[in-house]
Amino acid sequence: MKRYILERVAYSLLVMWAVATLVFFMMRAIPGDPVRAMVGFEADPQTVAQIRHNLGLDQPFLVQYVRWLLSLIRLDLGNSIWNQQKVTTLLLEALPRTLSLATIAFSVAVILGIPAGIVSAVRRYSLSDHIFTVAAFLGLSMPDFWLGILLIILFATKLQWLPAFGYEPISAGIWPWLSHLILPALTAGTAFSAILARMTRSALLEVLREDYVRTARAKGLKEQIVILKHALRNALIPVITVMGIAFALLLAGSVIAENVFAIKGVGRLLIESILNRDFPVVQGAILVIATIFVFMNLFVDILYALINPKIRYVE
Amino acid sequence: MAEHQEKLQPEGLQEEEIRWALDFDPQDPSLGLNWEDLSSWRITRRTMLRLFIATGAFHYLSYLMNPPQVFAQGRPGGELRAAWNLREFTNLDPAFINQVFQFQVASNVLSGLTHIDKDLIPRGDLAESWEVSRNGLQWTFHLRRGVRFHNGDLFTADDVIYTYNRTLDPKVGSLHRAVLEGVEKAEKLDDYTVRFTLSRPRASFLIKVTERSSGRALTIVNRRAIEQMGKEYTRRPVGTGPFRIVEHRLGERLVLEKFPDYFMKGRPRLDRVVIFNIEEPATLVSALEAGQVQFINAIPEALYTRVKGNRDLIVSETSDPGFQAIFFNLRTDKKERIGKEKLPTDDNRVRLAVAKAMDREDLIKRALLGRGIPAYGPVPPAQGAYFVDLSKTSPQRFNPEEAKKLLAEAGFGGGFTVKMVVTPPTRRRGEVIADILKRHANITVELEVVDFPVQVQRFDSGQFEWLQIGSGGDYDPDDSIDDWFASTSKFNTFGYANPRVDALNAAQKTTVNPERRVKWVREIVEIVSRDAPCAFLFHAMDSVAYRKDVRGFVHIPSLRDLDTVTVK
Repeated sequence: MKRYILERVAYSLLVMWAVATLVFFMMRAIPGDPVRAMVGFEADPQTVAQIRHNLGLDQPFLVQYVRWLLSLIRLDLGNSIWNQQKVTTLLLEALPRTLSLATIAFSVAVILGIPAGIVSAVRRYSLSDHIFTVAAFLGLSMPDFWLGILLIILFATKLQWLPAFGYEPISAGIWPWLSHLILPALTAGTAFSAILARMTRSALLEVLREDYVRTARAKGLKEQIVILKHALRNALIPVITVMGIAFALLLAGSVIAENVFAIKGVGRLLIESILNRDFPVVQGAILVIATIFVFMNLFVDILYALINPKIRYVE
Repeated sequence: MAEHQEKLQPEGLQEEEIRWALDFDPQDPSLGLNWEDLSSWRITRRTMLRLFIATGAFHYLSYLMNPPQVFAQGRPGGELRAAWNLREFTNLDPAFINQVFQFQVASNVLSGLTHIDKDLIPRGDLAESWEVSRNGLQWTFHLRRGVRFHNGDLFTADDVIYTYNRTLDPKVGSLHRAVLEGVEKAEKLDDYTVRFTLSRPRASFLIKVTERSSGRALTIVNRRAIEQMGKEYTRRPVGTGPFRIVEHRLGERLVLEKFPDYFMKGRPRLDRVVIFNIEEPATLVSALEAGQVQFINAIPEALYTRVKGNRDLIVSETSDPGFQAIFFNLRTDKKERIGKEKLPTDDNRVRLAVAKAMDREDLIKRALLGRGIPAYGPVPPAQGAYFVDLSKTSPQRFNPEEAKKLLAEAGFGGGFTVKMVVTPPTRRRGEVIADILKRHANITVELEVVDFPVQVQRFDSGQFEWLQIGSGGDYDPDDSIDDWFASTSKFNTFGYANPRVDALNAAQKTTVNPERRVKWVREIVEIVSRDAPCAFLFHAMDSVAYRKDVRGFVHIPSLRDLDTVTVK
């Protein structure tokens, strides 16, 4: 197992280098100049040239690339072209917001999705199954930004229970922190909860048809134990895969929710930087997101083994 | 005292009413009244009372009520929560500000030698007075004494010279260096007098160079703070303005606090202003409706009717000094640039036909929900005397029959197809334009939707057939004309050249005679309208919305100066 993990980590580093290289050259291939984006129409060509020189953007791509890789080894992601802040600072500011939002949104997805899926599978074709099915389709097909705006109009403008926008760090208190995250988390988490509900339902239905479930029932085990202990454990394997992807996606930033609720998270940072052609920030953010994905995959693979002892990674 | 008051009080007036009527800042030109007070179906008695007091008719009452005390226990103080429809205040250092929404904030924190008022007339700010030599070449400014920067430094002539040199320093890379072109030197005559010597007279000197908001070339910065703070100065500039920045979480919130040593007594009236960045239009408006913020700096186009229809909100509107237009590429080198040797709009008749086919009322109604004034030239009505009303005379005015005739004459009777560059925010407008031109002149406009940096690049290098763009924050005719329509103008990348316009422009920008300047500017406007290097579309409206408990906001076009504002 140890060697397996080490190998996986080594591969992961390789993947990250490839991603970094790809992003570096792709950003430079798309039209649009970062300095022009920054100064707009105002500055004269000499000033633009001066700014380009100050930022080292007048160097050949390969020189820029090698420089960037060298500073990457020192964990220095460079400075933003757009606002001159350190990329690490920008990411460190954005990550707690995204982490908070992702955690709550993920909880929303799991708390709503998995029980709904279990109920739907166990009471197949019952009224509750139909209700959950319709709800899941609604949740899946509603565009995030629309749901977000509806939630704001209801809970912030009409009822005035929750704030319409913004973020408070957890150091400001649990409620200020949580109250700012409930609506964005519902916005970002609803679609995933619908996916999880559907996944859980179909996986569980599949397993419930297996022989060992019939055997368990024949042994006279309580239905609750049959479902929760025997069936669900097996059924959860594909669900965990989806949960892993969902959490990774949420950690990569819920661009829509972050935009609607004016939360400066990783997703928003990335999108804005792409629009501004802010190369260093895009590179840094993509690298962080790639890292999250790679390690989330690894984590999920290890989790399989823990949940289902039949899966073992051979040395 | 109470007894006298009883007797002297005019019949039927309650003490509370009088107290309210007396509670205004004498320096506030709006007397603490807002648009609603003056424009409701009838002016309330309290409003009338304040107007009387302000004009002296009720002068004795102010003695009776002991005004300074009343003033002190009135509404000053408190916190305003505001939201800006902007993702972040990337750069508040005047050397690098290139966006109206950012200088709206900087204008509350920093000062210039002059500052425009709501009629776009420059008034003394850090300069108390100034003289111009007879030949228009020497401007001598007498500076206000005892003014302090937010870090305690005393403001003197050295700060003006420092700011001037910093803007010119190529290493700094100020975006506004070109504004100082034609300024030969800046000298300190004594601690409180500076003199600028120009190589040729400049009519717009007070607005374009020394003004607080748009004249970022000489918006006064603090040397010690810049040296100490380095790049952090771009986030939290130190100036001499009514508010100082106490906290700035980039892209999230900016906290301003009253600067107690601000040179204008009694200002600012608020203790604190918190400005949030909300880019999503629906959230911005919802936050205002919910009362989570009390002031928004702009009303998103699509949500205008929702804001306007809300009884808890007040909408303040002025004409935005600027113009929007479709620019036609007239460059002769465009064969290499865009792969097309000839464009239909190389022909003046076709350009005029496009302008004539443009139903501006329809465009304004459908794309802007009615918020705009049809434009036929670059100078906006906000510029007062320089504005020429061409709505009856311009060859660009809407006339589909003539448009068709001109197209037929030019050999395009069956219409033609053309590509127009727009950005995601102007796409909707572009679609309406395409629809109108299709309907009235059978011209097919294909939209090329590109991101802003790509648009800048293509505009700069002349890589477009048509391009929809415009100008904003044009306080002076130089912003509307000298920047755009002379053959060497910085924004003239579309290849327009008319020797007569060049000559008139050179004359208008260097004259010190306002009457002649008005005459020349108006003539340029008429020529440009006729030559049609672009089809003028509209002058936009500048609108702000706030909750009813916000008072005293003085709406200077494009600006959001908060020093006169109070909250209930």
